[in-house]
Amino acid sequence: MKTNCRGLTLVETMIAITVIAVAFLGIIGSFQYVTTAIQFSRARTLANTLAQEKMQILRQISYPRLMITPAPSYYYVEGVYVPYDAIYYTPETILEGGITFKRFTFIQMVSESAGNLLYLGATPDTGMKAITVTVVWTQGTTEKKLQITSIYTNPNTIMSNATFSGTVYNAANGLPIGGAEVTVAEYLNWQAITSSSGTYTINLYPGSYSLTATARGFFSQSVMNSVAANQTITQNFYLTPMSSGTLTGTVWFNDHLVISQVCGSTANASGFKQEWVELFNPTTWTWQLSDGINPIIGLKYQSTDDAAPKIIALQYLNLSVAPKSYYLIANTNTITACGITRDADALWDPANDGYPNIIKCFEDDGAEKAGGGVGIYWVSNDNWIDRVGWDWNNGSKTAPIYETNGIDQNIGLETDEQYVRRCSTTGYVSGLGRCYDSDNNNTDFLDFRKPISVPPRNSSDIEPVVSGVPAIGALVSCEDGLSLATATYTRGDGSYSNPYYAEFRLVDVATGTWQVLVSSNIYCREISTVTVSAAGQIVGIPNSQTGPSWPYSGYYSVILSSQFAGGYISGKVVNALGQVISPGIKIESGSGSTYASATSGRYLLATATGSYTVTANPGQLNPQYVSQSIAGVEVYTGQITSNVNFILSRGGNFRGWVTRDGINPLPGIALDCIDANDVSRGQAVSGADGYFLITNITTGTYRIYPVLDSKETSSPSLISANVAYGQTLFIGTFTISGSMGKITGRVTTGGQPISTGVLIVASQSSFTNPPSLSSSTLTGPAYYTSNSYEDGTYILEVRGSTTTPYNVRAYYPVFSGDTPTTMTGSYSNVWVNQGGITPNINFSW
Amino acid sequence: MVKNKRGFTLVEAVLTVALVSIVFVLGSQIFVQINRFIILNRTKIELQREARAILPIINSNLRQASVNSLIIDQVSGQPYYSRISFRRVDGTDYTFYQQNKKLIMTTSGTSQVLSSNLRYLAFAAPRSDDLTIVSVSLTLEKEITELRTKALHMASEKVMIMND
Repeated sequence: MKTNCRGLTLVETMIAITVIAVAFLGIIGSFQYVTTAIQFSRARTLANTLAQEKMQILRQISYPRLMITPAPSYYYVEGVYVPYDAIYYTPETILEGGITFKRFTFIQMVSESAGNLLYLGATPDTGMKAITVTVVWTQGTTEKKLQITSIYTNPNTIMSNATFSGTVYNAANGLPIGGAEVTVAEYLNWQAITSSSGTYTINLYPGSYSLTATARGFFSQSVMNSVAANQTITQNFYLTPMSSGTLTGTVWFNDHLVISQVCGSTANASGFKQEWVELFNPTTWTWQLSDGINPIIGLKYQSTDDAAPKIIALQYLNLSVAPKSYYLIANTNTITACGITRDADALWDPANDGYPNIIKCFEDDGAEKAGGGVGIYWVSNDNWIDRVGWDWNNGSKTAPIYETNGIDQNIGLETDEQYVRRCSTTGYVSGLGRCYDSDNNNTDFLDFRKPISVPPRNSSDIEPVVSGVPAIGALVSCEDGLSLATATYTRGDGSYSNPYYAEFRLVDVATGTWQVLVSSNIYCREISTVTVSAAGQIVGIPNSQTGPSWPYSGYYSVILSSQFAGGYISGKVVNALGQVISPGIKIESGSGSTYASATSGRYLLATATGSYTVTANPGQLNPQYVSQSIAGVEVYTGQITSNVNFILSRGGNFRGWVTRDGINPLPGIALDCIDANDVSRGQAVSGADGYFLITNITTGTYRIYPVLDSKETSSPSLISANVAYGQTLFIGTFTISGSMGKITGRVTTGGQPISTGVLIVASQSSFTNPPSLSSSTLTGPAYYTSNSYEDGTYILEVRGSTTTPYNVRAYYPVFSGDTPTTMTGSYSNVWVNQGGITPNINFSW
Repeated sequence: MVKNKRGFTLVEAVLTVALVSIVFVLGSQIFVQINRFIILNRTKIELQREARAILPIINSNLRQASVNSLIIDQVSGQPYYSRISFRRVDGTDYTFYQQNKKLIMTTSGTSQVLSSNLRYLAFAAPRSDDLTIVSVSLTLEKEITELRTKALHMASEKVMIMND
């Protein structure tokens, strides 16, 4: 019995230490996770507090003074675009609990319809505003968000006391239409959805309105009608159903040069054995084959007897091949065959081994070399562009170079035999480009032998492209607003007699003339003037009427070529009477703009994918009409987002000036424009120059007044004005007294920001200690108070004055032991203008 | 057969001891760091939780206050505006105030300490001519003696008083 009495070796000890170290690492790792989890819940709680606080602050603003976000900006977080206000309530950065938060505000009009809230963006007052506060912070490397929404109702909303009601019918059969939408052009918030029995009710203020009924699959109908106070007017609609048809066609894409013909040996009149490889360019751009010195695209050949592909060195006579054009590579300058003569665009270099007989044939070179293949490739990286091969099955050999399956041949390539690429699934058609490419040589190529019958083509020959690579799964959508997008599917079984192609059938396309969008990955094609003229009609596109028209008579082939990664927005713009506006109205999204047709009112806007606010008539470019925005329009790659429709009423603008003393401008004063029903129709805030512009006001008489707090006064308190369409009316000047200004600064101790809080007090009367405040001090000299923030800054709002300066004092409590003492600092003669900021009132201890 | 009965050489033993001690020293340092971090973090969370519990008590009562009953001042010797007294619309009287490091609530004659970690408390009325808005700012601080450092949490909220 042997015993190991040696104890631990050094190696064993080190292993033990390693194991212990690994255990340590594991503990530290799990600790990380725990910390992250704690941090997350902490940050979330703080974010919630910040969001609630902002909500409180905003709800302290009086209802008319709470500005609607005019054109939202978007912040991308957690995979969604969060809209926010970058004009009135700009994003804030807040440091709390050592974490930096971003706080966004978004305010929009809402109205309630059948128990659901409709978010309306900027529109005349509905009596309800939705405030959305989003707090964003960074957790590790990703951004997190917390969002709360609250509804703020107008305490002074007047009740609507007039009613339109009625039924929406199908004009064709007299049956009611459920789910139809009835809208009032003048007020976006007055809308109703018909019940299952087709009835609707809209409560509104007395007046004259344009009502529109729309339903999917029907032409919409607009009527003018008026209603008096305490009256109910019955307004029925009879909608004509849209007829629909079907669009069909095939879709192809072309992104590379193809080998369109190979001939191994055919004798000319003088007995010279001609051989050639013919290329075709089905793309929309020119391909460069050589720069004049070095080849860019080269040619390789391999017979069934060769071990590896051999480069065929070429003399390039033409350096490039134009779109829809051929390129003839041959072993002699001039090819004469099938009754025609063509000059070669490139020649076999005489230095090639075996020149001029490079492509071997059964009769000339023996059975074992009759199988083979050729391919074109990029010289720079040796990658193939296109290949074609032919088998020698008598020798049980398949093509050495091929795509999917070489051309089935028992003998292989013979003299007076040619392999010719199909023009399309139909086969060879004289006069059409030979570019059908399903990536299978055995179905893509036709065999003509003894004699050859397809004449060779060169760079002087241009032929239309009717096919290419079948674009399976390409998206097809139409802007008619009725049909839904579809995708192409595979037809054919891939056999020689029934090759593959990609077909689409877009059903339920409304009768009318439309634009169609076809896209596959980065390739797309717009087809305009697609007309479905009768119900049930099946229309092949593109056809002779469309733009672009079919590539060749009878070929409904959509050829994808232009590259575009975005999508489209489509819709219609009409005036309040449902009429098309001429000249065409400009339509703008975040990434582009276009004009609606002056004859049909329709538009199609190409745009990058994303979420957009689409604006019709931005900046009242056509001054006779108001501008209108629709927010949250989603655009997907290669699709049309349709039915983004606008009904624009005629309107103008009010302009005016706000001053604090008749000389200096007063920025930041909110102005409200109310109509005869006391409904707010527009708001604005005076800018840095004191001017304000209330835009988008439907023609009529309005009252404009500054929205003030109880201590502010305005002279005059309101101005009445009448705006005509297309007019920007200057209504006058408001002189405001008693409005607020700001004092800002930093609080520091020993040079470091104070994060515990400092009390800041300002008053126009002199004081040492801040007085007790109660209802009895309301009428005495005013004191203004604020607390510093965690980052050591403060903002104190005081009433601006040009006659009396302020005394500002700061109180910083510190503890010595358990008892607090207060350190103080003071400034006197601090001047604050109305609407102004007096900065750098800093306190340091 | 020769048995190896030599056991450790001196060099081996010294090396082993040295390595083990290095591992222990590093490990203990890491643990000290972790411990320090945990204590600091835990204290911060405690303070945050405490502030989160206190602010709603002050704010929900203050929101129901009658603005005419509101008095903002301080206990003698305490920081300015660190006391607020008011009568709720239901007739109950409330006072919240700072007494050194304590935040005390008094209602119906009984007092209750809401926090003993008070660093800063101020009831700032943005405007003395309109007391319907009060901005409550509260900072809690706790000394962590073993680390010779302080954990802080500051929370502030504006409260609107709706009743006369």
